[in-house]
Amino acid sequence: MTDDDPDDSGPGAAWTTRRALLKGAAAGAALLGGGGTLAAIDGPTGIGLGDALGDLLQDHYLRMTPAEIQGALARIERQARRRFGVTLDCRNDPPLADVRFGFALNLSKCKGTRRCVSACVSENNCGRGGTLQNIRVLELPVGSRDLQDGNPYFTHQTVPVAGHWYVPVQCQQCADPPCVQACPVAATWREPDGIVVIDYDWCIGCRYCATACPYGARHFNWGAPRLSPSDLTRQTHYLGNQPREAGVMEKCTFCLQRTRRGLLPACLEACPTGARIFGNLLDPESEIRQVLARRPVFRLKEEQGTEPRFWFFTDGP
Amino acid sequence: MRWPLPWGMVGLLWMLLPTVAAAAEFQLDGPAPQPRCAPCHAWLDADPRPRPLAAPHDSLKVTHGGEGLWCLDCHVQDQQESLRGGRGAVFGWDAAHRSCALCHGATVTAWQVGIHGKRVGNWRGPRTIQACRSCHDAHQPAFRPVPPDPAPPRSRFWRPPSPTPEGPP
Repeated sequence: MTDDDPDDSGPGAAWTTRRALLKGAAAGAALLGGGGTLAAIDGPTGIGLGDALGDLLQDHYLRMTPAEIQGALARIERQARRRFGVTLDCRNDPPLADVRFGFALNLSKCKGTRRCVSACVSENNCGRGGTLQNIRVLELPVGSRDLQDGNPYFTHQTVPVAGHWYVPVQCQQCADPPCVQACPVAATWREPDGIVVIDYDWCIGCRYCATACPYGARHFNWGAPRLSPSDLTRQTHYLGNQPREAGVMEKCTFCLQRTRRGLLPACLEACPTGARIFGNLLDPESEIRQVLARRPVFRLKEEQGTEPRFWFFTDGP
Repeated sequence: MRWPLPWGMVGLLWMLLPTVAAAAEFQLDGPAPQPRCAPCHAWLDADPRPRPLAAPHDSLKVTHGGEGLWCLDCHVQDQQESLRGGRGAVFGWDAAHRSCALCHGATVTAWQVGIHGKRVGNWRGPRTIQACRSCHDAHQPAFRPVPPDPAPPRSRFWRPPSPTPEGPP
């Protein structure tokens, strides 16, 4: 019993006992896991016993102390070494001060090449050949914004096809995100830099958020990603592209493992036509602000009141 | 004693001022073209008259501007490293976008502030931006159709969209 539990008997006793046991186990796991002895013992799932306990007792991301976060990052790196045999660099870069990220996409320039999709899958350690892709390129009749009529499965010899335009849809990083309201365990939230993130280790996989999202931007991970070690992007972030387990939600995070370090998102760098524009909405000189100032822009399903941070525009009138 | 102002020089400097305001600090990136005029035209006079290009120039396919453009609308005769600007100005490859701006002024302005063109690397701090020619072939500037990357596996629940019914929305 701990000192702050004055009453040892009665109906609360079982609870306090269990809590004390968990606390002791956590302390033991942290001690031994950190020391490397327990961590080295393989548990039933192939990860170290200490790491399994650490995973089990891990708190919500926003409630973890800096030391606990460092422990979680170290566990992710150890598990990646066991699972893939590669050395990851998993970080926890915080949101940058005075930064709100925004994205714009020029529909006159998008030709439907899906290069952004491939780059996203590769950067974000999504399974190869799987259904989970954070970007969906919809083929629509020119001018149509009826996303339900979009065909994401087009297989033409070459693109673009006359009479169509291509609308890539990914997480719109809403300022009033319905997915966050829908989550029953608060495993998803909006960061100060405007990115809606998921604590993969807190997500229970109920998929309410996928139903709540008007853009179909949240995807359920039906299986652990099929990845060969050479495919793995090694620069990872806890809230971004760390290798995920099966059974959690995934989404576009504007590549926060890159953007919080000053780099551009992978989809933007892969776009062969320069249709994508990214930047800091609080910087009047940024490219995204120039788009908002000089081009007539629209957002998808604005009538939903979700306030997306993702704008679309065209070159012509 | 008052020195007279060199008005000619002032006028020249005025003309050389950038015609469009540059937003962020940037550095140009992109390969320099390799014109192959010199081997022949070092000793052979070039014919400046607009005409359909025949041998030995028939390997040059120019679709830029439809049928309306002739070589010397952009190039400067006998200066293969230079491009034409307005009011008789001549630009080197490093300022080729100013020659493009003769016709595509709005696009070049948009490119300088980051609306047109592709940025790579960082979203803050000094940017490196791609020159026009790193994406566009100046002779055939339109992007050619390319094969798309593979489609995602089809969902069991997906049905092809039904044709939109006629009538007002």
